[in-house]
Order: sequence, then C-alpha cells, then structure tokens
Amino acid sequence: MNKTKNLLFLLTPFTLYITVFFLGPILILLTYSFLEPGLYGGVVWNFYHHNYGRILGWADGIIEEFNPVYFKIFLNSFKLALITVIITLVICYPTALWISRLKPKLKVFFLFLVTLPFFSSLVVRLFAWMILLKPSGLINEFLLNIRLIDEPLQMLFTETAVLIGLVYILVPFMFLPLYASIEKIDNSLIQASNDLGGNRLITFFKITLPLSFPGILGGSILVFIPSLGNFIVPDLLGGAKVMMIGNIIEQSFLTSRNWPFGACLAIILMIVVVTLLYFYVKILSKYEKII
Amino acid sequence: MPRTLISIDNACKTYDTPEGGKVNALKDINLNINYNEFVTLLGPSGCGKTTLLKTISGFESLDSGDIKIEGKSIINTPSYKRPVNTVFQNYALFPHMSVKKNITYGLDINKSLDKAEKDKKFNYVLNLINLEGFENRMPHQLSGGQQQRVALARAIINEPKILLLDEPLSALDKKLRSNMQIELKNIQNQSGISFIFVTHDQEEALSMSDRIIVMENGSVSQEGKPEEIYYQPKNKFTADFIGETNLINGLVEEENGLIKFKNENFEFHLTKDFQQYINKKVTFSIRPEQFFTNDVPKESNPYISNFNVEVIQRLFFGPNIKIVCKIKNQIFHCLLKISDQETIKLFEKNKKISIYFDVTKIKLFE
Ligand SMILES: Nc1ncnc2c1ncn2[C@@H]1O[C@H](COP(=O)(O)OP(=O)(O)O)[C@@H](O)[C@H]1O
Ligand SMILES: [Mg+2]
Repeated sequence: MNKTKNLLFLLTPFTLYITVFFLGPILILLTYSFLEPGLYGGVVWNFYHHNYGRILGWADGIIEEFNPVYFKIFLNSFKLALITVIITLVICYPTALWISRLKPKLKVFFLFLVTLPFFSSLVVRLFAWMILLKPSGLINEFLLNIRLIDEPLQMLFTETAVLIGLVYILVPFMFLPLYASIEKIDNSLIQASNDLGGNRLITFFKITLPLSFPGILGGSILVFIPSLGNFIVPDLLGGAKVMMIGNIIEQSFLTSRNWPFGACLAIILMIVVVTLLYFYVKILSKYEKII
Repeated sequence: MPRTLISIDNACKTYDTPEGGKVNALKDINLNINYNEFVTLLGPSGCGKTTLLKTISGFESLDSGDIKIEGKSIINTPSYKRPVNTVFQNYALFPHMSVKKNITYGLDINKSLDKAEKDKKFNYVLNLINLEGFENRMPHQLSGGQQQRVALARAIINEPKILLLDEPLSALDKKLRSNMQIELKNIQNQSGISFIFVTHDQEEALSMSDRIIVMENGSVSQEGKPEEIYYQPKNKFTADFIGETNLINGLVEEENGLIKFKNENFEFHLTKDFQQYINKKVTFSIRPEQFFTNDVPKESNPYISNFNVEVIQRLFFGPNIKIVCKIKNQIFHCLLKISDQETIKLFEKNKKISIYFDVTKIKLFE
C-alpha cells in the first residue's frame, strides 16, 4: 500500500510533464487533422476528413483532390531514411567492433570523439557542409585544382547531399547502441567459438553478429525515425530539389498556412513511427530474455 | 611405459599489468602429459593455472619455451586449429543457441560429417551427460549443473586429444559437485581423452586425479600421484597446501651420537635418516591423522615417540574427533578415530593426555 503511494508520488512530475507537453500537443494535432482549413490560415471547426483524403485517396474532388505526390514523398523519405540506416550501420559496425577491443583508456577517448559533434550547433555544422559542397566550395576547388574535373560538380541540392547530411548527423545514434551491445559480448564466448574450431569469420557471423542484433535494431530505429521526419537537412542541403515528409509538414504550417493538412501529415508519420516502435519493442523483448 | 601426448618445455609467460609492472605468470614450466591421463593442476588462486591452460588452448602465447602435441610444436597454430577443447569456468555457452546447437557447434563448423553421423554423435554425448529431452532448451532455461554438462558435451563431442577444464565445478553446490566429480571421472574413462583439470580444491584434486601437479607462484612445486603428493610432500608449500598439517619450526642437533629435534617447547629423538639436517633450522610436518593415543610398547616399534599435551578444544565429527592441544606454547591438531561414546570423554577440555606418532613418518623441510 505504502509502496504504491510512494510510486505515485515519485511518478507525479513525470506524469504531469508527459501530459502537458506530450499528450496535449498530440491531442491538439489529432483534432486539427480532422478540421477544415481556414481560408487565411487557422482552422474552421467543422469535421473534415478530406485532409486525409488528399494523402490517402478519398478527397471530395472539388475543393480537395487526391494527390499521389504525398505518397511519393512518403516513399522517398522512407527510401532516404533506409539508405541512411544502411550507410551508418556500415560505417559504425566495424568502428564499434574495433573500439570495443581497445584498452579502457583509449576506449574512453574514442567514445568522446564520437560524441564530440553534440557539443556544437547542428545548423552551424550543416552550413559547414554547404560550404564544402557548393559549386565554388572547398571540394570542388580542390578537384578543379588537381584537374580531376573541368567544371564544378553539382553536389549541393542533390539527394546525395541530403544523404551525406543525414548520415553525418545521425552516426552517433547508430554508434552508441551498437557499441553498447558489442561491448557487452563476453570475450569467453569468442574464445569458446575459437576453441571449437571457429576462425574469425565464422565466429563473427555465428556469435558476434547475432549477439549484437539488439544494438543493430536499436541503432537502426534511432537513425531511421529522425531521418524519416527530418526537415533541416533536406532544407539546407537538398534545397527545393529534395523533398522529405518533414519539409511538407513544415511548409504546410509555415508557408501555405494549412494547419489541418500539416497536422494530418504529422499524424500519419507518427502512426508509422509508433508501429515501427511497437515491433521494435516486441522483437527486443524476445531477445532480452536470452542475452 | 606411458606414451607422452603433450609436452611443455621451459614455458615462460610474463604479463604487463595495467599499473605498469610485470607479473611472471609462468616460470620455466616443464610438464609431460600422457594419453588417457587425468592430470590436475592444483594451486592457490593466482599461481598461473589458467594462464597455463590458455597457452595450451592458444588464447595466450608463450614468451619462450615450447608446447608439443604428439611431438609437433603447436605454438604457431591458431587456437581454432589445435586438437584441444576447453570447458570454461563460466561455461561460456552461446546464449542465442539451443542446447543442441551449442553441443554441435564444433561439428557444424567442421562440416566433415553428414547429418546422420552428427545426430548419432549428438545422441551419444547427450546420453553421456544425461540430458535427454533438453535438446531444444536455451541455456538460460538450464540450471548451473545442467549448463556445466552442456559445456562438457560441447567440448567432448569433437573428440579432442586433450580436454582442458578450468575450475569447472567451482560454481556448483557441494552435492552437485561430488556427483559431477564422479561423472567427470567416468566420462574421462569412457572417452579416453586426456583431461587437464584445474582446481584450487585439494580434496577434489586428490580424489579425481591420476596425477597432480602442484603449482606455486608460476612454478611447479611438486608433481606425482595423489598419495605421493599427500604423504611425501617435497616442500613446506605442498605439505601446507595439500590437506591439513602441523608445521613446527625448530633445530636438529646431535647429542651423544643421537639426533634430536628441538625447540623452546619440546624435543624428541630422530632416526639416522635425518642426519643431513644436523645443525640446521628446519620445519617438520606431521598430519593430524598421524597421531594416535593408544600406547604402543617401545619394543614393537622403537621409532614411536610421544608428547604429553593438554587438550584445549575438542570437535566431534562423527567417525573422527579433532583435538586441539598444546605443549607450552606449541599447538597441535590431532585427528583421531573413535568408535564409541565412552572414548570421547577421555578428551575433555583441560585433560592431560599423551599423543603418539611414528618418527619415521614425519617430514622435515629446510
Ligand atoms: N591478462 C592479464 N594481464 C595481467 N596479469 C594477468 C593477466 N591474466 C593473469 N594475470 C596475472 O597472472 C597471474 C596468474 O594468473 P592466473 O593464471 O589467472 O592464475 P590462476 O588461474 O591460477 O588463479 C596472476 O597474478 C594474475 O594476476
Ligand atoms: Mg584461474
């Protein structure tokens, strides 16, 4: 009895926080997504499902039309997020493996390096990338100077630039969970595999890789979700050429001032994310029991 | 004449410690192990037992020296190619694999067997470790003893020439432990694999081994059959580490042609066999059970000596009674056989008694 009371007491600040700053906005968003957009921004308090219709395909055809472009942008965002996951995984896995085998002091040093980018502003770092990638930027200048190319490459405002940006900002989110799960693998398991005749390759594929699966899964989720909804990177590095779902949401709210439509996109995005998280937790809990 | 399976010659190993120092974990170790032999490495924690196993399995390399299996040096062979398997102290079962997958891990990698042969071997070892019906369990669904047996099966299914066992029983409770001791011994007999068994438990070593190698501080202190190690310890360390013993310091002197052991508390005559110790400071060792209380006439055995002591403590164990007694400042432990209640009364606290021993059976160390 006393315990329950204690627990309630301890959880109160968190519950309040979650209710006010998380559940509240989501409820507002959900409500808005079913309201009619006002002519000059704002909302008209009528139940209106054509926002969803525009995206998913049952708009009334008079005021709001079904437009498959949103579907395509969703798909493209998915594609970019997925590629980001794959690239960060390929970069981080060998690095994490290598760092996990270093001496404790060196480990701390390299972990510090990995988290170093967190200490400066994201926007500033992305501007730096713009300077690097633009036609008169450092990379192009260099390539021109060594005469590898005759005219500047168009690197800025391409999907590649967006991918570079996404990978760049999300690498730590892949690295940390990956490192945590690789580091946790008991060295005696690796030795046991060697002892039973497994060379390095076999040991990696049969022991290390499966045992680091929770880290791979966790890192992938942590990279995939922010990539999917990201708008700063495509804004700065993709320009008008590369649209991701985050850009459309941003534009709906800030440029076209169609709040219900923006809310509707945000809700759909959230449903996707929550579904992913649900499967993530389900798979992970299965693994948690074993490892 | 036993044939040598593995020989370790002048093996040395030094570790760098994180503090910047050096630890001589192995100091010039020389050992031969024969086919079908159960050898135990016995020694206190930190004496280099695990290090020696690791150099045989290939997880650590030697600084100098050589290890040969059937005459061929293996020090440049990677661990996955050595005909050696290990049962790890913490079992090291693969947590994401079933009992069956764990046990057949080595065979699956080897790929030289077809499915029928593999199943046959698997069923054989499963029967050997008595875990039929558990093949689909995951390691976390097994008790400690069961995990231990799976670790054993996983190693012996590969039919290694040598099985290394690093304190495999230390995590088990007493009852399970003594069962597993018997099972291990049986499995060793049946499989014909040479076992190198590490323990810091001297009773375990005495009861299971064909041969015991006592290690002290990175060196071999003594090796031999369990009974040799027990009754003929070559030095103070072995005498003290194996079993319980009374170690008493004193001086050997010659007086009127007779040899005497003497210290400030008591003295007694020694036989001519101890001549080499004359005028030397020595420690003599006598096991508690080598004392007896029934008088033996001097005529029947002239080498019987006795101490007149006072009982300070009496501990009853059932078939035995342990008596802690003293002469002046010298404390002795005696373990006496008893078979009736009346005898116990003779050893009440503060009673003065005589304890006897055979002088020829004691050991002297310089
Ligand atoms: N990796 C290591 N680095 C430094 N010192 C070690 C290492 N492994 C063992 N040692 C030291 O070597 C000595 C022997 O250790 P070990 O072989 O594990 O002993 P045992 O198994 O007999 O308890 C100990 O003093 C131990 O501290
Ligand atoms: Mg050890």
